Amino acid sequence: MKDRPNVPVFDEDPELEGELRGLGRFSPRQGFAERVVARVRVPLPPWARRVRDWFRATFSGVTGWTVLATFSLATAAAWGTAIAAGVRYGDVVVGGVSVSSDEFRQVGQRAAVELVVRPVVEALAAAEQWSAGVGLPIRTLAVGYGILALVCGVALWRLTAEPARAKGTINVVR
Amino acid sequence: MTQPWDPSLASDQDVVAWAQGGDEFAFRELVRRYQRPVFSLVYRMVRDRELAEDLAQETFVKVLNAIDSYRPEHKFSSWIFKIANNAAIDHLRRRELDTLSLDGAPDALTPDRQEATALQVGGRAESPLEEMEARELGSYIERAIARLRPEYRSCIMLRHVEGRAYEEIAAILSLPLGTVKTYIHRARAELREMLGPLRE
Repeated sequence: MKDRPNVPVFDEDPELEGELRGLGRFSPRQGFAERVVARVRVPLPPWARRVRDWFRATFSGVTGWTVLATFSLATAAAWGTAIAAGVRYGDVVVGGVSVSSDEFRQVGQRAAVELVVRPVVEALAAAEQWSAGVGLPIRTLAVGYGILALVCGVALWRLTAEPARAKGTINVVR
Repeated sequence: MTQPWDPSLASDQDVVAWAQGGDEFAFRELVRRYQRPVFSLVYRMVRDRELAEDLAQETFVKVLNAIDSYRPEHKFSSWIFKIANNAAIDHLRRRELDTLSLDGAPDALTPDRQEATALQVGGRAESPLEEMEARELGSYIERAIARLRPEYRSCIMLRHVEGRAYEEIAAILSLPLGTVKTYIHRARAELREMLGPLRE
C-alpha cells in the first residue's frame, strides 16, 4: 500500500527525520482514474475549437430577423433556381421520361392547383360553412384572423428585437 | 509536439499540453502520476479513506476540467496540490462547525439528558474500511501528525512525503516563505515533544 519516495531531509533530529522519512504514500481504491476521467470534459481538438470559434465570431450578434430573412431568401432562391431550371431544361431534368416542355408545364400547373389552390378553396368553403352554422359572417372571421396574425407578428418582433442596451440607448425607470 | 512511445517519460508540461489538445490518454496519465500524492495528502488531512477519495476525486475533476486555464510558467504539481489542500482545509473547517459534543448536546442540563444525547463510540464494531484506516494511520508518527494543526500538517506532508522545496510549499499554501519555514520548524518541535515519551 505504501511506497517510500526518496526524499532528502536535513534536520537536527535524525531520529525524527528517520520517522518522517518512513512516511509513505497511500493508494486510492482501484478504478480511481476511471472514475475521475468519467467525470471530466475532454476539450475539443484544436481544429474543432477553431471551427467553433469561427462560428461564434461570425454569427454572434445576429438577430432573429436576420436569420429569418436569410433563411427565407435562401429558400426562395433555391426554389426559384429549381423552378427556372425545370422550366428551361424540363426535358433534361425529367431525363429518361420523354416529356416535352409543354407537358412539364402542365404537370407543374396541375401540381400547383392540387397543392395550393384546391386546399385554399376547400378551406374557405369549410370556413364559410362553419361561420354560417355559428352565425358569424365570414368577413368578421377574416378580420379576427387578421388581428390575431398582427398580434402574433408584433409578439414575434418583440421577441426577436435586440435589447435596448445593445442599441446604445439607456432605459431609465423612474 | 509529438507524443513519445512512453508517456511516463514526458514532462508534466508536455502531458498537460496534450490534455489541452483533447487527448484523453493525457488525462489518464496526469491522474496516474498524481493520484497517490494527492490522495495521501488529503487522507492524512481528513483521516477518512472514503472522504479522502471523494475529495481527491473532486480535486482532479476541478483541475482537469479547468486544464485550458493552466499556464505552463507555473508547476502543475503546485496547482494540483494547492487545490487538494484547499479542499481538505475547507472540509476540516466545515466539520469543525458541524462537530457534535461527545458529552452530549449543549442544551442537555440533566445527567439523563446528557447520556441520551451523547455520541456512543465505544461499543461500535469496526468496519473493514476502518480497520484499514487504523492500520494505515495507527502508527505513533501518523497519530502525532494527526494532532498537528492542519497548516502544520500540510507543510510536513509536502516537505517530508512529497519532498517539495520550501518555495514551492509557500506557493501551494499561498504563504510567505518565512511562515512556511516557521511552520515546519514548529511542527517538528511539536512532533518531537509528542514522540519524546515514547522514545524513552
